[in-house]
Amino acid sequence: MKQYLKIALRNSTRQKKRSLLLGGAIAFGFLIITLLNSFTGGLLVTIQNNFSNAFGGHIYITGKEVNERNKEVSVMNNSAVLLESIDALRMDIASISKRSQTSGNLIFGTRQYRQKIEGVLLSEEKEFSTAFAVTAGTIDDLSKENAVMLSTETVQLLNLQIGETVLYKTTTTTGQQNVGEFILVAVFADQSGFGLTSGYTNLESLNKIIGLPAGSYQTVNIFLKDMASIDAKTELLYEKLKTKAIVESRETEKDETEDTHRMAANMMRMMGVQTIREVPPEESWEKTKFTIATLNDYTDQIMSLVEVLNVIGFIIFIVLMIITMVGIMNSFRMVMIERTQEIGAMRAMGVQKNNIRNIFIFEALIIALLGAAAGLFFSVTISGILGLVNFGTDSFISFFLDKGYLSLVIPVGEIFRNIITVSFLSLAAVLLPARAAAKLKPVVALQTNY
Amino acid sequence: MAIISLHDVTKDYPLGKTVVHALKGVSCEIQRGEFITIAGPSGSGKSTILNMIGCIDTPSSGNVKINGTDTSALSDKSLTQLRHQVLGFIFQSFNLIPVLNVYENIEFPLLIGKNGMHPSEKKTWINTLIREVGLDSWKTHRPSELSGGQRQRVAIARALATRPEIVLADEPTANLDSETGETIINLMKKMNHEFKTTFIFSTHDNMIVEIADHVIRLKDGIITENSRKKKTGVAV
Ligand SMILES: Nc1ncnc2c1ncn2[C@@H]1O[C@H](COP(=O)(O)OP(=O)(O)OP(=O)(O)O)[C@@H](O)[C@H]1O
Ligand SMILES: [Mg+2]
Repeated sequence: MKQYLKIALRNSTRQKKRSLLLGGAIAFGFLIITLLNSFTGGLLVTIQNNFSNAFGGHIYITGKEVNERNKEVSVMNNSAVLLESIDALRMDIASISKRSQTSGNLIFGTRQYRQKIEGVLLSEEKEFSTAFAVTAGTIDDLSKENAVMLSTETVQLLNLQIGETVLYKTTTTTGQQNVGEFILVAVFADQSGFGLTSGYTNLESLNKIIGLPAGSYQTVNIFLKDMASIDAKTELLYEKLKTKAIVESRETEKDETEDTHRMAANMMRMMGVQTIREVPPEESWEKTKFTIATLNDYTDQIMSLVEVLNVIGFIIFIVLMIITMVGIMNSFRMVMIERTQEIGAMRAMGVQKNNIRNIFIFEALIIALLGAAAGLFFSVTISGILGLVNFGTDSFISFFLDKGYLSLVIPVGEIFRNIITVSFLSLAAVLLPARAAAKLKPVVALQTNY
Repeated sequence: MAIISLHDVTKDYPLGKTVVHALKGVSCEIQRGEFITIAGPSGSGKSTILNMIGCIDTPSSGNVKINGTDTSALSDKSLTQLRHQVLGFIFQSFNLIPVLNVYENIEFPLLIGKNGMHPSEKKTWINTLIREVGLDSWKTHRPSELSGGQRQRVAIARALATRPEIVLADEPTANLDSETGETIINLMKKMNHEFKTTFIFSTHDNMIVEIADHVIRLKDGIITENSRKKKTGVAV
């Protein structure tokens, strides 16, 4: 076998131009598809990370209650049933955060800046203090009354210093305008990199501003240990919680606009926008109505878009490869004719038909695989260079970037799939000419003169 | 027992609506270790008969036996194996493998199928062959860098690599000038002598016919002369 491989390898450089052309076409196809795959692969991870950072978890549970004035309020006062249900998942949970949040305007002197602020139950969120790169002040002071921690970006915009007081104008859960005061105790480096960063205070201070009792919170967010298990764990939690409390259905509605509305309302609540709604008596409910949403609910559509991109890319790749394969087939027909005497001589010397065929197959595979390798090499090089470019964090596209940088993963699975595809296609392309070469009668082949 | 025996071999080629009778009933025997030429004018059937003996073509009727085995009964696979084990080929247009150098070309037949040779033994043997054909300083050259005569020397060494019992050469000198042709035939003769290999070659050059010790002369597909010389050079 080795000797035939050697001959095939050397044969592949006999018509350098021809081999370069065929290998080059394969390399080009490979370059494009690999770049696309590494881009989309990175995109999936980036989007998921950016979303889960922005929302502060993988599973988000919000509560709604009807107050004495028949207004819907975002809060969960009897969260015990929820916590019980969550406890059933504790093995799979990385962290839980219980928070309130609101959106409003920070006002300092003449400057204003719209900022979502989250109230953190610091006594329970042990990891909170270590999750930030603090650039000024100290995060330990956050438990003090009305203490706030803001991002460097926000602080710069407001021209705020540690220890200074800033006004915060927001809406309470019942829809009243309210103005509170915060004292800046710490500044952190914005790691999410896309302007959706929150400010943070302790839960009691925030609750006071939005008019909630001290121990209440509006959302419970869960970070799972494994992002891939989001759907399964959410289903578990949903089924469990349904037996103990009112839970908004997770079934997809027939009416799509209904679905979209629900998701948008959810998103608003999570972003701290207080949605005030009069609840008609016939729709009213007792205690807390829970809503469970997941990262996937929000990213699924983007994900499937990315998947579509991948499929289209793969189809284009296949078409490109099939065109190349027609080239390979024709080239090897020529090759067979050019090497007829040589084949005859080999057959006379005792080379079996199968091995004549193998020499051709090997040669085609060598060209295909070297082409693929070249394509891979270039795509990795280009990825590497693109990965060094900072596209900035201040525009909309930054949501698709990892801190301003394109995140490009090496799409190992897809590379394997593509290599197998190319090998298979070149095998199919070369099989007919290779068989024809193997079938040549030695005596006829030897008498042939070209 | 004769190493090769042909019994009433005919070969017909269809040619348009007619048939060409290339061989019209040929019978002969070839003994082990002979240095035979098949002579005759162009179109007399020399190549046809060599192809039968070489197991790359089959007779229309009659049979060819090699070492007593009737080749007409064998499959393509067995014939290929037989060619590899028993026969060596030297071609008119050399037909070396262009991508292999001199050493590799000679080694090639040893890499096809099995042979009991130890790697070091193999290397020594190939080098011996290279020395015998006088190409010591050309080992790593590719065929395209060699002259016609040199290429045919490589071909001779290659034909002998598997230590075959029979070497067939269809007009090995046709693409060479007469002087080079003669040295090639003499080299074949030397090999015939040293390795006791049976050599069968065709030619229409009478000068070269002289060197053979058994002449089979063909004309229009019929043997017109079948004569062995004694060591003294007298016809049998
Ligand atoms: N494949 C073929 N198809 C038709 N006729 C053929 C074929 N091969 C040989 N012949 C015919 O058979 C006869 C013998 O041919 P062969 O090649 O054996 O002659 P030769 O003695 O080798 O001639 P030369 O010295 O020219 O090589 C010729 O008449 C030739 O035309
Ligand atoms: Mg001939």
